[in-house]
Amino acid sequence: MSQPNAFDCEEAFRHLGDFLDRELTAEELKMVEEHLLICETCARQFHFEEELLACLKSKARLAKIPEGFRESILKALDKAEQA
Amino acid sequence: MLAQNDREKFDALLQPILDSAYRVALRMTRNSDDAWDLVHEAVLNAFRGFGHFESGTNFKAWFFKILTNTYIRKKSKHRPESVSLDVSENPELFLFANTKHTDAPGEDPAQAVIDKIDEEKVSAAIENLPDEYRMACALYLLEDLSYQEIADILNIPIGTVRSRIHRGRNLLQRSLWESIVGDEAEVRS
Repeated sequence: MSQPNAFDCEEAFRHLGDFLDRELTAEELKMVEEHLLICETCARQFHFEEELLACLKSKARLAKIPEGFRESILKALDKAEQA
Repeated sequence: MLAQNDREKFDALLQPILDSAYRVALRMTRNSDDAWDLVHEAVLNAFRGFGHFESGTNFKAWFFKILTNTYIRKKSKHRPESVSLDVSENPELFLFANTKHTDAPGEDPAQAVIDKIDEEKVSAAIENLPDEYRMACALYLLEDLSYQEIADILNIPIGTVRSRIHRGRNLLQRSLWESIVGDEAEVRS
């Protein structure tokens, strides 16, 4: 049975966004991962993008919730329920 | 008309997602007062429409759809915002390509660049995104939703979500780079 050839750098790079977002098909993912095993340059770039994305997600989630926010929502719901 | 125990059901579904609703609203509105108002309005809209929610389906996706619709409606009442970034010219791997131009010390300049990214820089970068990119990116960065889930919430095609997230990511990188370089220039002067 013939196996598809691994991606080259350009093809791997074209799949970078979907790779980061876990939106690749199983076959595409395998092709990207196989390329990363043999290409140190791409592996370094992909690793950087993964680290950066994890950093962005964690920092974006640090925003503080204002004091009294939850209570204020529940109070507004009480009022709406009585109306 | 809502049944008597609907309030309890609604509260039980709403409470676990309230904090993330506020954070998404904050990224959309770029302002804590507006985020507060937006979530309040969206919660009341959701409560009034709770009879339309299909029990057993994804409440969070249903609520976030109401939140974004409420935001879009509120926004359309105000004048359009000015777009601060050029969407067309933003190469991928912008930050990585520039790591060698930073003042970052040590053997791993890429990691040193990531270490310079703090909450303030991330907030500013998200706030600089044009509106439609910011909405998709807020849901993406804060909620780990799939392209399809974001497409359903924003009521846009999945290809549009993909392109907004990919381009949004590039815009974020450019913006982060500018603030890193700005900090370095300040330190040098």
